[in-house]
Amino acid sequence: MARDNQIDTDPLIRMEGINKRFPGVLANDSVDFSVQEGEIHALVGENGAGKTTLMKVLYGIYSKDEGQIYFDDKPLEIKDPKAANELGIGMVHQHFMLVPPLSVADNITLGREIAKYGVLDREEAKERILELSSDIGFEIDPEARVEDLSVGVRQRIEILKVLFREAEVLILDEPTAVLTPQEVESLYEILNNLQEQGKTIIFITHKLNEVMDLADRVTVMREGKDVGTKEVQETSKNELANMMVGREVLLRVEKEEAEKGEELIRAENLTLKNDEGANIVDDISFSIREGEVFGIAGVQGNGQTELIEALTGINEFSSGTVEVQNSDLTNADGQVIREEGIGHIPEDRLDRGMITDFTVTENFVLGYHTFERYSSRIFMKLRDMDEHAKKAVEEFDIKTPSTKTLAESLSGGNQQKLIVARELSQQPKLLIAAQPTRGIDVGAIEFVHERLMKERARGKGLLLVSSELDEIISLSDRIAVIYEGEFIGMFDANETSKEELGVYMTGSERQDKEEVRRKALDKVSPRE
Amino acid sequence: MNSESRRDLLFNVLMNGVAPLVAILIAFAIGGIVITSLGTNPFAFFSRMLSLNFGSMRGISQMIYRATPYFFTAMALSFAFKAGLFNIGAEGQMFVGGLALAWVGFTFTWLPFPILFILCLVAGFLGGALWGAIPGYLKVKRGAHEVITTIMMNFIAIALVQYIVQNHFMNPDWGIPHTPTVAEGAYAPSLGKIIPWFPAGTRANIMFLVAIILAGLTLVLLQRTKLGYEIRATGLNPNSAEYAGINISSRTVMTMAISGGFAGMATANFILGPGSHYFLKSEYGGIGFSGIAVGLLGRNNPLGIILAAILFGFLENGALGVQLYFPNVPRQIVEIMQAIILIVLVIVLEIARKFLKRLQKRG
Repeated sequence: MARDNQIDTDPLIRMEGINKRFPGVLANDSVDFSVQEGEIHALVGENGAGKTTLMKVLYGIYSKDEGQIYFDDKPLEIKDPKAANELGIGMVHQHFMLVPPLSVADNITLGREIAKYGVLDREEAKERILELSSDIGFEIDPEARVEDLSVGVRQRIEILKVLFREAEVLILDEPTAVLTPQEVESLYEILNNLQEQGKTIIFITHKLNEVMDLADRVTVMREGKDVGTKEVQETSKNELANMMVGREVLLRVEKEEAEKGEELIRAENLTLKNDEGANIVDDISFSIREGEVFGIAGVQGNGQTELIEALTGINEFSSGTVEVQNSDLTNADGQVIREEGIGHIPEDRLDRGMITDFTVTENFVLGYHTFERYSSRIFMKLRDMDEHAKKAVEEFDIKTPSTKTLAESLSGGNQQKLIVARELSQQPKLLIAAQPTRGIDVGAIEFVHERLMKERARGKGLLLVSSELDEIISLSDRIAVIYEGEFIGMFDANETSKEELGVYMTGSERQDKEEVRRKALDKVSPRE
Repeated sequence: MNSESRRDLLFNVLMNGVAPLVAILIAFAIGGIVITSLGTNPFAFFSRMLSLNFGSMRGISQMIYRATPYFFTAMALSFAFKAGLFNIGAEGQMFVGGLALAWVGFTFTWLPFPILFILCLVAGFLGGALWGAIPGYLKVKRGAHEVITTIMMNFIAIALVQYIVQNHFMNPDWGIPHTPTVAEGAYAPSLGKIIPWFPAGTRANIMFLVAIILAGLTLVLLQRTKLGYEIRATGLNPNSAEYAGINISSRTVMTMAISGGFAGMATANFILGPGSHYFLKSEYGGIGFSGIAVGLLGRNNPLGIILAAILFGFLENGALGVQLYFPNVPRQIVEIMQAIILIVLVIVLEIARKFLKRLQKRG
């Protein structure tokens, strides 16, 4: 990657003393921020640090309360996104703004249609789009409908949309949050190509790996203030993490030797067919013992979600058996599974794990609301619920004005802590956790990891699904790689690497099927 | 008070207090313009309406009598709404429930008060519940959208009830089709017998108190019971409810049944209350549909709905009386105003929402 020396020249954009107040929060507190022409600049910070706010001020979505923006050294006001577009600033939002039933070309030209005599000139538009996309190194079918395309492709369309409007400065808000590892790779390539063409790129993230891989410079924000700007070459992940959190952060998880105990769960020959009869989960077997973390690594969409949801009673297996300490829990009811002491942190925080219009307390009992400690036959035990929730809020350091606050007003990290708190407070003997740290910031990740490891040390079992390989390797004892619904490799966490798992995750290598099954079932255990 | 709860309070006051009031005021203003164009002084018109309703205890009780059925059909809408469902079928549920309660009333005639009265209410509830549960079941089993099915079920109910009354219960000598009269044990006592301030023999009856009690019970059900927790969870986020092990199919059917049950009791006010004591279909037409407006105006809150129902009772009762004084103003002016309230309310709510959003953006 070209690390150019344009740093000495005058900045292209300079934001000085930006103040932005929301009710009760100073989202930006006299922030200074500047970008050089042609650089890739990362803007990092924990959730709620004010990164997105700052960029929305620059893009004209928010009006600043105080401060000055200079473009090419000229002071100016950016009063709305249209004004930003005219300056050549474009933004790719975290949530895509596309019209799914329309074609790629129509989406890109929307609002800037190419017309001849008042009639849409689709041929011309197609050509321009093909040209733009090949310039930055990917192919796209301008006639495809957006609703048929994957998230990764949709993001490219968003980028093309911005380029089509002749943007020279691209702001990307957490562009990798929704992508698979492969899609992240190709996004890197696209951004590098854009840089070579002389475009300036600002991207918001809280993943430090991305900063190190991609950026030339990085600005760290914390609690609405800018903590500093660094040359990426002259800094380290640890330094950045400490700047973000404001204290020392452990990026590696402390994993003590835990005493492995009795077998907790034994699942054999699990298969789940979809409506078309295809095997989404294909003949999976495994067992987990007390004090053991069983990790499942895999690219999203290879059957992990279905496996977990069938294990926890949301979905049903077509065949196979699940035994938890000798009681048969195959396709059991969700309530029964919880009563047996199996907790579940679902991968989709907002659309599974909680009800955002419920209060913190109401969310704290979600799934456990039928338990005797929270309800009698008819009535909820509101006082007991609230008492337990208050205790958990304190113990898990959940930042909320009160337990009566609606969960929607909590930050993403605190929402996740609330779910973790709920599941761990029930003292499960086995916890099934999917993407337990997705989309939360470094401080919260560290916290969740610590808590999970504490459970392991206490002899609890953990089934962990994650697409973060670092997480899988550092937390797990044994790791299975899932590919197209099948376990195709089994690894000891101490003896494998990200690279090795990555190869298996793409399905380009696989181990002997019987061998995988034997290792997954832990047949070397003394019980056998 | 922190800023967040201050914003919540502002939100509540604007959306649930200011917006409905503004909608009502605008509706009166437009109604006033129409009345002026008919050559009548709107101030004289509305002040006559006011005195007809509030000028005497008789006026107040007439107003309450007219308001009572709206409460029930509005609750049908709002209860379903709490569970994320749109029950547009209160009209049909009201008819089925009404016929059911009348049937119990004129069939088990030997039963004394209050046993027969209570049984009639239960029958009304069950009739409406059955009619509401069917669209719930269709939604769960077949994915049929409840807005479509409840609307269709209205037409079926109207025809079915007409058919049953004409072919099974009607005496050909009566001229208009209605059922036999209910027994005395089913009579809902007039408020005049219960509360000393009400004039003896007023048609306002105990169903108004039943409505208030029901509003309270509904609040308790939703906020304090396990069933209410599950109903709200299902309505707010079915995916998360499913995760929580809640049987969302059964909760959906149950919600629609309870919702239909509320509507099923709406006509008890007429059939069991002082008056003709029989089921006369033509007397109740539209109360189910107006319930939608009352529910929205009451912002889906049981206490708000009581106030909104009283406003509708005010307009309706006023329209009947004011005709004597201003014969050139057709009484349909009230229906126009009811419609305007609803339209303006939707607009005002949207404006308030935008305003709050901008406030949030500005900070």
